[in-house]
Amino acid sequence: MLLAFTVVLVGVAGALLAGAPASPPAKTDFQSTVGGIGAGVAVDPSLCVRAFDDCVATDCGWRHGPVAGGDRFCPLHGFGPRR
Amino acid sequence: MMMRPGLAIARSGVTAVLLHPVRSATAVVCMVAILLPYVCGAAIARGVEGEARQALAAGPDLHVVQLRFGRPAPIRVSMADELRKIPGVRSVVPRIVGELALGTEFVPVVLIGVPPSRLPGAAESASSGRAMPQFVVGAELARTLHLSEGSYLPPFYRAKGGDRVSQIVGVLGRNESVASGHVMYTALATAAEVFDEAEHATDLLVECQPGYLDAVRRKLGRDFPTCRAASRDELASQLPANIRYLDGVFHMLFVLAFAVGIPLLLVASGVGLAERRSEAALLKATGWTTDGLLLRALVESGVLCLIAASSSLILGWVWLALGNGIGIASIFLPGWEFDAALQLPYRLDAEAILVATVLSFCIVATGSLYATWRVASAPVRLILR
Repeated sequence: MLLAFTVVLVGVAGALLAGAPASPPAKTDFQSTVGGIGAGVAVDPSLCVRAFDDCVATDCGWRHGPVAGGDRFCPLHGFGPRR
Repeated sequence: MMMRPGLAIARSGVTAVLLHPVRSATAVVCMVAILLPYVCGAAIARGVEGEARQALAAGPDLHVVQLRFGRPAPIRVSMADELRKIPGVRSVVPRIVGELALGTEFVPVVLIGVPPSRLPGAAESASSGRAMPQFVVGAELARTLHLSEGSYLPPFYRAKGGDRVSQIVGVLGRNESVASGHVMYTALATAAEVFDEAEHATDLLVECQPGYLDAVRRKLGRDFPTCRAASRDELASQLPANIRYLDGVFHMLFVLAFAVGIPLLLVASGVGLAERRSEAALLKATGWTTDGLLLRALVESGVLCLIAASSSLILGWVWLALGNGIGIASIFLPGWEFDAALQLPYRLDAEAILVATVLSFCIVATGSLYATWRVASAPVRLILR
């Protein structure tokens, strides 16, 4: 009984893994219209433009103000990779 | 024939799981509690990275911005004509990407303006100067501001020709990219009017003929020294850094969680349990060998581990697909709201699940195997005493 339960559980988990696409489904309509946007982690640019899309801003807006060189205080990547 | 005793011992290992249901259930629950957030976090990290790569793939070969004082500045739209003259350039599309806030709650909006030829359907008419400004909005924005197709927006910007009411001509679907949530796009002229920046754009999207990318880039660097051109490959190699950083932080937290969970798992899986001691002694007294007892404990740990890993994966799928990652999505997607209107991007990753399963197996097996070996290697009379 337990063995059967385990096999079913593993089977369902395997099916979920096998059913997952290797890459997310293409969302080309929106992206091709606007020429590709949102290649960062933030869902909107209100906190940090660069975290929303590196193409839009070359560096973090916090670097230039309110504290000059204050990108370490950026809530999105203050302690993250700095480029 | 030689396999039969081994199989019988293995089957008794499966039975052993049910002999101590509380201990087995505790071990499974402990492992699921650790594995579930890890599986979900890894899946979201992969999903977000996939979306970032899609955004880049849909972007141009070269992304050109004007720099002033080393910072991005508006670029003249007329510069697009100059770039088109460079040999190897196939097309140059000016684009406006700006920020504004809408409504009394100052909801952040990314306003994108692109040439009318790129706009689908009705939004194209927004390019004509006298028509009512028309916008397509993202699902999250539509939900927050209670907008739908055909809605009107009261004047939200100061136009030279007077304040104008705008119309929403489309709402992006919930399955679109997460970046589309707060986006509002329209024709280039309309976006320029909103920001009062006629004849300027924020960037130029340059497509090159095959094999001309490097030459065009060199020419750009030489003739337009105040511009910065970044290729798709260059951006692709750098952009997911933030995502990987968050992924790394999450992995580190997971390792800590595992470290904290180890004692719990060890106790739950056998160390110090009198039942395991007496059970092993009785089996030893009835003729079981030390190897047999170890194999039995190994199978028991394996079954527990399989149940925990499979349950974690199934529950993770439920959490992400049906629960939209409530409570965990905002770790990887800053700004993601509890009741987001968009579908969370995720990708269940076999590699992460395999690593987690092997680690859990090692920990559970260590606990039960060590206890079993200690008991099984001692003389029966001593154990029974």
